[in-house]
Amino acid sequence: MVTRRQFIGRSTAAVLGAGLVSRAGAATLPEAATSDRATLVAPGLPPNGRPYHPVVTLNGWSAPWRMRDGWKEFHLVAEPVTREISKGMVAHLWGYNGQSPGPTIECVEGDKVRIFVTNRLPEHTTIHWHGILLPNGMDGVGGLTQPQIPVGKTFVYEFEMKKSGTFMYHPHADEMVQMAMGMMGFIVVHPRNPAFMRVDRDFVFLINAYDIDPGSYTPRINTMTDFNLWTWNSRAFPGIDSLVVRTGDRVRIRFGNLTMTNHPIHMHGYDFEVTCTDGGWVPKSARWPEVTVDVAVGQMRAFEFDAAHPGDWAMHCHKSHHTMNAMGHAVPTMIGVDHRGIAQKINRLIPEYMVMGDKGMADMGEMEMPLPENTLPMMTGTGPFGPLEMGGMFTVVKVRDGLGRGDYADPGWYAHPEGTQAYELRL
Amino acid sequence: MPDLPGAPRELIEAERVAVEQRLDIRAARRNLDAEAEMLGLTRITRWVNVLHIEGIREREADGSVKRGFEIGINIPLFDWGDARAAKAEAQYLQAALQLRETAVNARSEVREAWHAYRIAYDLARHYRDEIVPLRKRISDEQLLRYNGMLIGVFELIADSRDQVASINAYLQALRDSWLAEADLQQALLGQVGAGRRGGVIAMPAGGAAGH
Repeated sequence: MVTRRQFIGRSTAAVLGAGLVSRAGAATLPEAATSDRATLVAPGLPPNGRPYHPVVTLNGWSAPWRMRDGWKEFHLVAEPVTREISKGMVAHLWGYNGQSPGPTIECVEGDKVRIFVTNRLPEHTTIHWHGILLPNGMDGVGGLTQPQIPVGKTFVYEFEMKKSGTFMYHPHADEMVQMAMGMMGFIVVHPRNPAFMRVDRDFVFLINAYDIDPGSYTPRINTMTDFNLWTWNSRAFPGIDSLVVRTGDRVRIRFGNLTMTNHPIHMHGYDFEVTCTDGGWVPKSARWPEVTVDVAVGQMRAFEFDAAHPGDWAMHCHKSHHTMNAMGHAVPTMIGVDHRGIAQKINRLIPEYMVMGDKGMADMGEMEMPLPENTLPMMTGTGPFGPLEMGGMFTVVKVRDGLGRGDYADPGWYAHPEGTQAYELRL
Repeated sequence: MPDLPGAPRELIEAERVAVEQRLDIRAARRNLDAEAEMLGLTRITRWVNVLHIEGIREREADGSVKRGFEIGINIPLFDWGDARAAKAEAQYLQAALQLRETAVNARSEVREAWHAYRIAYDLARHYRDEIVPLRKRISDEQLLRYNGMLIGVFELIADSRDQVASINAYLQALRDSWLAEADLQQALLGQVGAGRRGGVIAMPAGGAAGH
């Protein structure tokens, strides 16, 4: 019998016997919480432990913990999940606690953290705590710092959060496959002093990408660069939550990149400063203002701004293909091609055929054509003035006057004050 | 061109029809009856199936039941009397064996024609029930992909060409199946006059030389 006391002070991850998990498991393991919704769960204040200002996970939530003998205990269950990428499309992924990405883990600098990881995947796994300073044996690299967690087993990771900042977790066992299947999660370590780097609203999301063939559900795990779904927290526009902000709030937006390419994240309406990287907080003297911040593969960035300007401000990856959903990169350009006569001929062969792309692709944003099963339109979404013609890594920062402190409910579209909106010239 | 019949003809049925209606078999049977009449054979002792003529003298070695057992051409055997009738017995049995040969060859032709027919029928049915609907489904999916700008118009047209080709292939297979059906019908009647195995039909002339 392995006792809890033996776990404490071990420098390597320990395995629980199968019998222990099933029998005494109820007492030994903290509950593996799940959520049944794909929209964000507004945060509550921590019920115990050191105080902090919680983050808001886009289309996600933070894992609850159990305090036991001064340790914060979390339970992550690695398992197959289904994730609605956006309305009209569901992906068969792997994740944690019923969703991909897994729940955000929040704790405070100095916390002793014990994380139980149960493997309900069809193959072994591990969790690597990306960016956390910890004992080597807790680093979660299968084969190097621990044996992989076998199917059906539970491993325990224990370490102290030595510094605050922005981190991630993801497997380091069959890593390429397991990340292509959606296994990842966010970690936020809050400063011990709640006043340090204090913000009013603190949003987090992971940048991920999938290659799911039109008409199918499971990502093609061997794709290296040509993904067709560019997602934040495994959601694509218009499925990504808006970032709702009260005018005057100090706002931080944190993100980590676990795709195979870089993402220049651009926000309209503001200049901002990167205040935190994967290595820690950026001293004031080292920051500079910008409107687009590139986040390379495996990096994390957090930028801050004062929400002085109300409005519906777009925020997106500036690689324009990354604000599209599934599309054919080999589709020939039809702009300028004279279709007169030919369309009727093709119609005799294919009655439902329509000419597309001869005047650009904006038609795609307006028309709702029947598409293959479980496939999102290449560009979609509707705003107050018409089709938004977006997809993928796109959402809106909605800055409004007079919102409640913890109010993250969508306030609707921005009402532009008289004389502050582009207008048509009428001669 | 009429559509494919709902179900293919059965081999056993084709053989039964052939044995009943083939002209060469009927001719050989007439020849046998004439032989009996000419020889003055009247006292029937038993009936045997000429297709199992071995049974006249001895049982089959293994006694097994063969395919086509249900099909029979029953002929009478007579009381041959004494040795003086040996010639009559031999002549009668010669005609009986010629009837048997004709029938065996006829059934062989029918089986050959039936197999060609069945292959053609199955091919046409496979095109009709599998390939053409599958092609249609692929074309429908391709149109959905075109709608989503996942493929271009050239792929759409190329696929449409494939679909047309599959329908053409079906029509060709359907035509082949009707041709094979016609060949089978011919085999059920027998090749009148021009048959390669026309010897039996010619026999009455040769065999009746002694008339």
